[in-house]
Amino acid sequence: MPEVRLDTEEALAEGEAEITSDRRAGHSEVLPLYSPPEFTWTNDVDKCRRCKRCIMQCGWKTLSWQDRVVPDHSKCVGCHRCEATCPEQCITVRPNAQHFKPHALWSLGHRKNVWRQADTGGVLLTGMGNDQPYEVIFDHLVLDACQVTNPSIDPLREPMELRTYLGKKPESVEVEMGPDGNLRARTRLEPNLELATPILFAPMSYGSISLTAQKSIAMAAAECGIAWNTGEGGLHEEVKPYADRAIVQCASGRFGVHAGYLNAGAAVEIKIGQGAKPGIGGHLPGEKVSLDVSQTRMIPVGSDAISPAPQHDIYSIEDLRQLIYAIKEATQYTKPVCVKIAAVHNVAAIASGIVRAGADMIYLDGFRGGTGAAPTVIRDHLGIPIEIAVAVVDQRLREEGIRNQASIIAAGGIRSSADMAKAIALGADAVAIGTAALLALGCTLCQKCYTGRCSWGICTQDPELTRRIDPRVGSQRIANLVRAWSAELEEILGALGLNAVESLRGSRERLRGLDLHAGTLEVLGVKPAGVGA
Amino acid sequence: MPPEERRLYTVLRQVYASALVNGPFAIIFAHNEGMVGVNDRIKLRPMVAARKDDFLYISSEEAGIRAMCPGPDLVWSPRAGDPVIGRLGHDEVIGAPGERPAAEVTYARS
Repeated sequence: MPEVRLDTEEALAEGEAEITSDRRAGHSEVLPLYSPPEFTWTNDVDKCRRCKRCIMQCGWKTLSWQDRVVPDHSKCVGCHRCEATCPEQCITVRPNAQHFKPHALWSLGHRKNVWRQADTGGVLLTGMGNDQPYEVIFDHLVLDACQVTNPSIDPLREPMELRTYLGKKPESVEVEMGPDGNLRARTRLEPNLELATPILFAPMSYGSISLTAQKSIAMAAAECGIAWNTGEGGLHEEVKPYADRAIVQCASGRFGVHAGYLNAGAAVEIKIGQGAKPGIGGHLPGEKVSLDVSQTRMIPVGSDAISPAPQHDIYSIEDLRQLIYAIKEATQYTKPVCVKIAAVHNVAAIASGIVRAGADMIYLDGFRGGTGAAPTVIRDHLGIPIEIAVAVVDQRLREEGIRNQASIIAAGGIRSSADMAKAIALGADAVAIGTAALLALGCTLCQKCYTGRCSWGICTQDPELTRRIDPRVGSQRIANLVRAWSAELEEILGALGLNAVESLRGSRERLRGLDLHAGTLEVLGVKPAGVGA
Repeated sequence: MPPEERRLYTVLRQVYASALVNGPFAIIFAHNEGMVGVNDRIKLRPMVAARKDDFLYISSEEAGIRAMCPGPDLVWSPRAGDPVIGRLGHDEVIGAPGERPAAEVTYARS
């Protein structure tokens, strides 16, 4: 359960949501109540050299020029773009320190949301992942290390293998004698996705993010020998050169899906759900469907791109099997097929069904996963943590003897190499990162993605903003992140006395829980700290 | 490495990934056709082998071998992860210097 917070400053900093304009919205002519701005913008007038760069940099038009820079605090989202680009470093954006009487139950966030909904009668919208103070299980898990009886390994001196193959594996390998008298494998392998390190980029479509951001991610994937994911937005010409490292997504709107698209990528993903909004589809408003977006998505210019909540041809595991095999037929059984689901209460049984339906990989997206836009109430209250989902799915597939039939990708709140190592120890084959990759591009987690005004050029289609990302530079920043995490994973493996990452997979014996309830520990299959082997 | 062989190793590595044994070990085991010694692939534990006539010795220390056999014909330290295989009725010791390494030997069940 969320902790009760009395700290007013923290409550003030919490994500404040906007209102959608949908058909259910109420009386718009109601006089709005006063709602205090989330942030206050100040600059040191003595230092300011009046270059007006901050005014140009702000995507939200917070600042204007009236003989000096004048802020409209209510528009500031706290993305710190102006601060970061001010040549005089004279700007300060801080949480609005205005003091409301603290209340342990009614945080200021709750109060503000009620005021806003009373103003408009609309559904509150937000971006990125669940920001509520639920317990983070990763922060209550600690890894083992070798001492005396089993030597640790120095990754700078000894080989360390991070190479990971995602896809179906046979139960055993049959070997036969070749005509040359040498042994060879009789068993034919199913197509697998080879990764140089157990990291993928989460699906982020062109449309949800800018093409410059997507190209940065695609280039980084190619450079690092890992995989990126098109999301549900088709494959734009600009990123086609990196298609051999792409997982191409087939989601409920089927945007941009055709035989060439399915065959262009390294793997195909059927998207059933997303951690940030389980059970919710997507809606790219017509205003954002430019000529470029329309061509990539294969829809008319200016038409709303609506991804329905369910896939309307999948109401059962049997239906899913039909789509999986339709895709396998379309790709001549050369591409592994992944099925992405949100981590929900019955995830283990659902995952078992997905594997039996023929999927080669399962992508589990925990409730911390990000999004370009979602109703706040959905983002913050639906689904379960990825730590639990990975543990129960891995356990279930092992119990049923079908773990070899599909790889598990864990996503939704992987913040560091430590989270990655813990997710793998809980049973994942690899992790997918979305938010972390965007942070590498400059994102500050202001959670205003759904406005399409991102001043960092990430979650916007405004050319004035998107050109702020140079994919050559952006891809290097993301590739650096992947390299850093890989090096840290090697250090962790070395400390554990392992020299291949697959030896860590599902190795819960190397984890211990700190301050976790007995029930949670049992679900995770992890012993409490202090209990030996 | 020839492509067929490379494929075999890749397949083995992919399918039996979880069976990879990490950590320090030197294992000597015998079966009714011979004896095998193998140690971990980064040589965290010592392993020494020796020959004297038609005897094969495997031990963690050379001193152990010399205690049993003061004048061995040949003493060597097998490379990390490379098994030493002696078979009854065969003069060849697989993995010994000058002999075939295990990776080049094809077995047929006798």
